[in-house]
Amino acid sequence: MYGLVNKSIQELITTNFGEEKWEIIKANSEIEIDYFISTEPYDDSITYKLAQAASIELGISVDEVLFAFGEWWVLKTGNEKYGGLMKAGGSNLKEFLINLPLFHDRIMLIYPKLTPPEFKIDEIEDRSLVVHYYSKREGLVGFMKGLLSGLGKLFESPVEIFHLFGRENGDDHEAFKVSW
Amino acid sequence: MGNLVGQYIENLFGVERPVNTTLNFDFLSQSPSKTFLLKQKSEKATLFRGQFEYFEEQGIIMFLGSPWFSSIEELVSNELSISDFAALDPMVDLLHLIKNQELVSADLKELVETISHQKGSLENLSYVASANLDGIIFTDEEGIITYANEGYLRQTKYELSEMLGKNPIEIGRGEETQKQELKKMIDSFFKKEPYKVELKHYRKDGTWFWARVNGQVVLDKKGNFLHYFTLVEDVTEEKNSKNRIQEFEQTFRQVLEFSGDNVWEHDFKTGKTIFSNKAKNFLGLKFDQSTNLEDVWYSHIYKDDLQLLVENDKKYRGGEISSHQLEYRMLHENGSIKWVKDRGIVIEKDSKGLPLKIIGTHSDITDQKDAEKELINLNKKLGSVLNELRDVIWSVSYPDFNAVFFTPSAEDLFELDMDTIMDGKSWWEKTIHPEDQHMLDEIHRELHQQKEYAKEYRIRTKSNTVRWVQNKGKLIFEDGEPVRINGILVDITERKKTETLLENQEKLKNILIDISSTYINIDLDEVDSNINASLEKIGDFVNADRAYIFSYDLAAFTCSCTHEWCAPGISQEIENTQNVPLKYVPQWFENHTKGKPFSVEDVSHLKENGMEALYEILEPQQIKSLIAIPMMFKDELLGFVGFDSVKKQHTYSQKEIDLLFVFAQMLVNVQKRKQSEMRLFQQEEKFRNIISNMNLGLLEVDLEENVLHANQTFCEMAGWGFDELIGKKATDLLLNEEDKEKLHKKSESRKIGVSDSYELKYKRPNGEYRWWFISGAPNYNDKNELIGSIGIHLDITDQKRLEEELIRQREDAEKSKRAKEIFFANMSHEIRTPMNAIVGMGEQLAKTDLSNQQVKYIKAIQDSASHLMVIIKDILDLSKLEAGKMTIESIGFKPKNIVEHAFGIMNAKAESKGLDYSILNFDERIREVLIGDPIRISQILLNLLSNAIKFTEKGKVMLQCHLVSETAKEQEIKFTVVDTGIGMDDAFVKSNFEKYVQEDTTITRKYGGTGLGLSITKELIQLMGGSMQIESQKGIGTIISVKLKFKKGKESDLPKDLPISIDYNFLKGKRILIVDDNEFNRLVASTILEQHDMITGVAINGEDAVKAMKTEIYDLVLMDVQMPVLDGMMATKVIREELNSSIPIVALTAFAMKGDREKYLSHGMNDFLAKPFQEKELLHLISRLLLGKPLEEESAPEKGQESAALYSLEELEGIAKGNQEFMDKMMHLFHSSVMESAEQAVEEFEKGNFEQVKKLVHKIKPSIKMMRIHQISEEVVEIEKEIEEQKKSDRMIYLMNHLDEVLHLVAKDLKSKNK
Repeated sequence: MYGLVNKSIQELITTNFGEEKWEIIKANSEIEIDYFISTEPYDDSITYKLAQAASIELGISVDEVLFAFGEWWVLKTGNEKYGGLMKAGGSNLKEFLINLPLFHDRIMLIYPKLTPPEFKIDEIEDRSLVVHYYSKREGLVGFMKGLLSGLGKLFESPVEIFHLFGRENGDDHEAFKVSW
Repeated sequence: MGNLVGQYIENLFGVERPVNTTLNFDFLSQSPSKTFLLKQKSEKATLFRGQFEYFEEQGIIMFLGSPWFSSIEELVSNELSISDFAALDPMVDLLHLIKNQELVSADLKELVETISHQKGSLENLSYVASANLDGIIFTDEEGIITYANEGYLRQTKYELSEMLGKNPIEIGRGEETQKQELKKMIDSFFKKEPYKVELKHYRKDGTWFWARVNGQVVLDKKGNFLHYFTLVEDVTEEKNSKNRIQEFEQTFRQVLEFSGDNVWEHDFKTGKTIFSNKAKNFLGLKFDQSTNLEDVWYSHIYKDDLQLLVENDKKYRGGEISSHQLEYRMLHENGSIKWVKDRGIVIEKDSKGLPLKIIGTHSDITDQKDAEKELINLNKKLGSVLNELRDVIWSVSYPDFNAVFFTPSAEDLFELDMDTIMDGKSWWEKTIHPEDQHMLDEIHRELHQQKEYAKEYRIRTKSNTVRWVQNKGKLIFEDGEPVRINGILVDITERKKTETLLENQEKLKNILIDISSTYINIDLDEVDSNINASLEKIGDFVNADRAYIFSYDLAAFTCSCTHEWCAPGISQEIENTQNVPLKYVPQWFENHTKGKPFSVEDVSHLKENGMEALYEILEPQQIKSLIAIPMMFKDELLGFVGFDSVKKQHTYSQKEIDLLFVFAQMLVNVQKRKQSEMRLFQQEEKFRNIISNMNLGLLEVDLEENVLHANQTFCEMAGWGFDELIGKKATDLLLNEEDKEKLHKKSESRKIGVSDSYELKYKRPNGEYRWWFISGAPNYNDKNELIGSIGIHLDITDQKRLEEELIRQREDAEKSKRAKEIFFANMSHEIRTPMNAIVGMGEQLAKTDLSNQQVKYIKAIQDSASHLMVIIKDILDLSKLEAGKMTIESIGFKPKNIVEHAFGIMNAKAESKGLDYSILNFDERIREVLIGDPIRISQILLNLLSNAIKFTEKGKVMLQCHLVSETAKEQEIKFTVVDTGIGMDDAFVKSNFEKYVQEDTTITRKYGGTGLGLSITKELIQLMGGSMQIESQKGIGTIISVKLKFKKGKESDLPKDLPISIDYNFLKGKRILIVDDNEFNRLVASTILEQHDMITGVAINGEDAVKAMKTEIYDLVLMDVQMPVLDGMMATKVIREELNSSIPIVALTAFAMKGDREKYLSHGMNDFLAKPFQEKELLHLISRLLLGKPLEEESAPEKGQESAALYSLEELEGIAKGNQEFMDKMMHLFHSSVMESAEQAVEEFEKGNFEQVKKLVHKIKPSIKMMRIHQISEEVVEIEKEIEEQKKSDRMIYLMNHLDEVLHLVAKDLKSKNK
């Protein structure tokens, strides 16, 4: 995960719970990184550790934490820092989601050290579609949901997300039906 | 942009770059590959970047371009999304990158801000640290300094760079640094605990400062170690001032405590008193915290002195005094009184000048007080002493000697009044004895020279009394000038008298010593004259005129004078003083019985004292005074010694009396000695008589062996008269030369005090020999000096003869025993020789064509011959049995075969007697193979059977074999021979079959035989651990049972018959020399050899053989050992040494004993064969020797097995790895090189070139190892190591032979395999 994700998590926590809480969570996560550089790749385990530590400290489940991360990422970080980029993804949610595979294909170029997830979009209907999420990373379903939810909010089309299936059930990828 | 077709490009776009460019066709057609930036002439004003391409043929210009965005936001503002860009268009990506770049920059900016902020904080901190005057150091977990501030650098005078990487102890420790503190510091450091120590911290320049070091670990939030923080304060000043204060205080207290025993302090405000020295107070008080010292002190003050202190206190309080010094008494706990000096001074006053605090001391001055008292007493005493002094202490002026001071005693001494004494120097000149006047000059002189003197001289007093004084004086100097003489005069008159007396006593003592020495070693007959002389000496000394000795005869109650000395002019009274009745002198006698002297100081007074009788005796002799000292021996009163004074009266001092007692005792001793010597002499005489009358010869000789004494018996023993012996040299007279030598040694040992006994053969003058047993001892005189020796001689000739007889008889017995052994040995030889012929010829005869009958006869002959051989062996066995040399073998055998064989042998004999002869039973349970000695069992059975057959005329002889008992390992077999013969009577059965004894001599005549059979049988059975039982009845028959235990055996335990391979073809034409003095033997050998086409030569003895060897060429010699003229052994020597021939020589001998082979081999023979021999044995031996085959070959039971153990080609094959050529080469090498070297080694060994042997053996060693010839692999090492040392030792001979044999075996086996 690139530093910008972890940085976003840091912002989420400091913004909502204060600097101190972040320090506690960071200490509890036992990660030894003081400062995240946005464009530097970090081990995925760091994100999990932060999520776990936050889960304990904030008294909410890891999934919820990841969901919050996801939303935050889109709404705050994505929007504030990558606003143009996000908008370039599409003028509305549907367009954005349809462009998602394209978007990620391009990311490979920019972040050569990143193994970006791969997306497939199908069952496109007027107000829903299915996002297929292929990733080497596991346990980021919550994050994914948060992202989708955040996107809904970004494009002012609140979404319902239904996790169709996933690796938990033996499939090779995750599939989410997104309705708005 | 909508439909653009047909529109003017100028209307759609303006040229942004290059500037000032118009969209002119010509210009554009000539500007290929040039970048243009076009701006859309619309609201959006989108930029397009691209190039114009001119297509000449078509005459058109094409613009190839794409929108140009500088940020992704622009994209959005142009209402474009990713999907608007072709997948191959990297524009979006570039824009993304740019965005990223922005983000990164933002990150960096943030980071830089954070860092610069932190840097500022750190700088602040470091300013604090650096600015700190105290030293601050950070160290890592190992204690290595990672930071030090300016303060520390200043303190230590180090540069920072010198400090980093070191630990603070390296930096600061020095010689005087407190080790304890260091340890504390290090301990705390490693425990990560804070610490605070004070120690001497050294600087770079070697100086030091007192450092207070505070250390503390600094941890991060998580408790991880960050660094160790150490603060170093320079506390030298603080320390110094503190020390100074302490030192001052200490000194102050010491001074106070030194000046007094106790330092006290009283505080008037609190009323509290403090003592410095509570523990060692001189009042014996015990204090604790609660004790009110003031109360205690006051309560111990001596009642009368208390007021002193009370008043003193009052004065202080009133401000009248500000210091005090009192002396008063106190009561010690033990009740004694102590004087105390109490001194005090006000050290703090209030504003009114009244005391607040006093400090003072208590000193124990008891001793001082006591001393004062003592001094007063002394003064008093001294005064009285001076007054009482008898000696005169004086002082006179110098140099005029005018009296200055005299003690009162001077008046008494000089009998002058003090005024006279003090008048000038009159005392000095007036008192001195005229004869000692010269003493004054001497005193003057000594004073002048030595400043002091001590003189003894006489003075004469006013009353004309002469007194001896000792005058000692000394010059006294004042301001370097002699001004006075002080001195003392002592009246030594009495001492002088005593001295004179002592001198006399000394003289008397010397006289006594003198006298006593004359009695030492004095001859008895000289005693009397010496006593008289002594009397004179003593008498003279005591100024007596007569001295005498009386002896008491208490039985007669008289005394008689025995010795008397009279001074010139004094009458002899000895005649008149014999048997004087003691009743005349009762007091005299009474004193003596009590051991006391009797003395009369003045005879004239005797009458008054009631000793009239004595007076009557003494007065006529004009005796004035006398003394008589008793002579006592223990409690026995012997007599007295007395001294009369005639001319002058004499009073005896106690000392004189004591010495006279000594003299008396001396006389007693002399008399006693005289008596005891007499007794000794008598006793000696008695012993002499005893020895003289006994049957022992006594001879006394001096150191030169001269005869001093010989008793009668000795004279008779020696055959010499007494006179002939005395004074002669005993050795010359009595001994021959050989014995003299022996005796000389004896007398030498005698001189060092050795006594011993020995036997000696003595030749009497009449030529008769006698044996003497002599006991000799050194002879000492009464001074314990060796004066010679004494010998007691006993004639033991009879015993000696008996002994000789016994020895002779024993020798005879041994001789006959030896004769028997020789006889046996010879007999066996004598019989074996013809037996060799019988066996040999029998064998040859058996080979000829014979009828069946003849075959049977020949067989009988051969069997008998074999049996005879067994009998011969019996005889040898018997001698072996007797010598305990018989051994029993333990090999596998088939019992059935043995029984049948033994039975078979005797069959013919039984048949000839027409006996019913059978094996009645052979128990089938008996194991097929047992372990034991088949030959001996066979021998036993044959003996029993032949006896049975011999003594049975008709009827039957039966043999039975039963199994008696069985264990897992053993079987006990009973062999029974039953006959119906003549039987034996009980007595003979019980006689245990003595050797060579038959039941009666008629039997010998009738049946023949050695009579050894049963005896040997019995002993053999015993040797095998078995038993034999005999039941016999005269005329009915005999049953003999033998029980033997055997271990069970297997087929494999049976000895293998040696497969003897004889290469007959090889033997053909070989030339063999047969050397034997026995014609039959020669014939046997030559017959056998010629049968096999060998060419034989014969020689009848060794000499003949040597001759034959010189003229003919032979391949081998068969050499008899025992031969006339030159025996086999010598002949071999000649052949080997003189003829220098290595021809194989085989010893043929009938003396076949164990160890013989080695004997013959060591004499240069190659092997040996025992006679009689079997044909095959002989042929085999010959072929082996000629082929060079070792002996062991024949004992190789299975070649395969043996060779497997003998050597292994594994290693070589390992190297060859299937290369047969290599193997062949190696084999060839073994045959050529190794074998050659080995043979050479053997040859060199024979020649005695051991160094050469060593080299050769060394050469073949690796091959032996390579071929794993284990049998000799270690032996070659041993040969190599030992050969030069051991040379031809038995071991080396063995090893060399073995080496040769084994290598030949290996070589042969290899050859056989290669075929």
